[in-house]
Amino acid sequence: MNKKSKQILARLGGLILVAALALFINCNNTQPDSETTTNTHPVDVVEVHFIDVGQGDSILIEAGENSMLIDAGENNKGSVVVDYLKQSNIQKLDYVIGTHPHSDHIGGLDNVLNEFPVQTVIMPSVANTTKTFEDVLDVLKKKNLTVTKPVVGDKYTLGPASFTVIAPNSSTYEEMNDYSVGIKLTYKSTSFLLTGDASSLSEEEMLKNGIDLSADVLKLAHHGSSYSSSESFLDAVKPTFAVVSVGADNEYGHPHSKTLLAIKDRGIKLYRTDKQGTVVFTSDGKTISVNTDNYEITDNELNN
Amino acid sequence: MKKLIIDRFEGKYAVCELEDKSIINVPKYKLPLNCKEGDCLIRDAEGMYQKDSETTKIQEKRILEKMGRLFS
Repeated sequence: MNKKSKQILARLGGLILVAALALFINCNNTQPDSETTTNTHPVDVVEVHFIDVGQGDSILIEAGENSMLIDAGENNKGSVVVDYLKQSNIQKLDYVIGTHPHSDHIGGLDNVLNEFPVQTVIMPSVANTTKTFEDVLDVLKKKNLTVTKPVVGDKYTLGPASFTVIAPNSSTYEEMNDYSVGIKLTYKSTSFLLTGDASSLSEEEMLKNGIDLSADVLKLAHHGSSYSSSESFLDAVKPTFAVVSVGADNEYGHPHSKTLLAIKDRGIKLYRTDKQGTVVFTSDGKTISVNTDNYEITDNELNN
Repeated sequence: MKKLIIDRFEGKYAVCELEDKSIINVPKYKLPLNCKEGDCLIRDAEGMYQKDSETTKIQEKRILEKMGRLFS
């Protein structure tokens, strides 16, 4: 059951209760208080939301009463992300990760940092010269926040779940994408692998370092481009589900036919934010459910 | 004359940030050789792009100073 239907059910339940009470005591002064009871996220469920921000990434993770955000889309998507977090009743964020300083990942982060109290900010130590990146630095300073560097192997607790940093494995790269902070999120026997825009170079390093990459859900890095999701990486992760966060009809050819073919060949279920909007995975620690059916890759997409 | 900063490269485009922080795709072939992410550019009235190395240096210095205070 998705969150909306849960909320509707909870509200219906509340209304029925209130109606019964009103009948019983024949009094109309009783105020329904179902609003306050729906604010708390279930303690034994982890949800991973791939928010539809067009061409870009923004991932909300809710684990029990704790939450974190990875990236916040382009500059003009900051308000979309903030609104989504508010609708999800997020009051604070335990962690915010800016995977790397490209505008389609960190563009809306300044809005988020302005709006919500944040405990820990994790970003790689690589600079971009854009105003977009500078805005993020300025808000961090204004909020008296410092940045925690991603160190491979570092483990963080998030309510009933935890995540481990798996990338970057080097400190200097040619491409900014390869500085992407990668994490593996684990909740009991389920896991999610999220690696920003890391290319196959960074994937190769993860493989070489013997990191356990196996996961149920893989976000296809770099919007499903041909520079990421190498066959050896996919075979190490062995996901049941893959998700692409991408803009409709983008000019960059994302996701690439080569990546789609590799996904189809392996029988991995694909989800796309451009075709399906925000995609939400819910884990009870054993099984994972999705708020929508998987996307069927067309022959046309494989021949591009 | 327009000022731009190369945010990143995607396929055949350089994705550039304009002064109002909006994003445009500039075909790579229109750019001078050896451009990299973070380079500041100027587009003249004829639509020709040139590197603005001076501005790039100033930007880099300012950003690195700001990062130095924030990154532990």
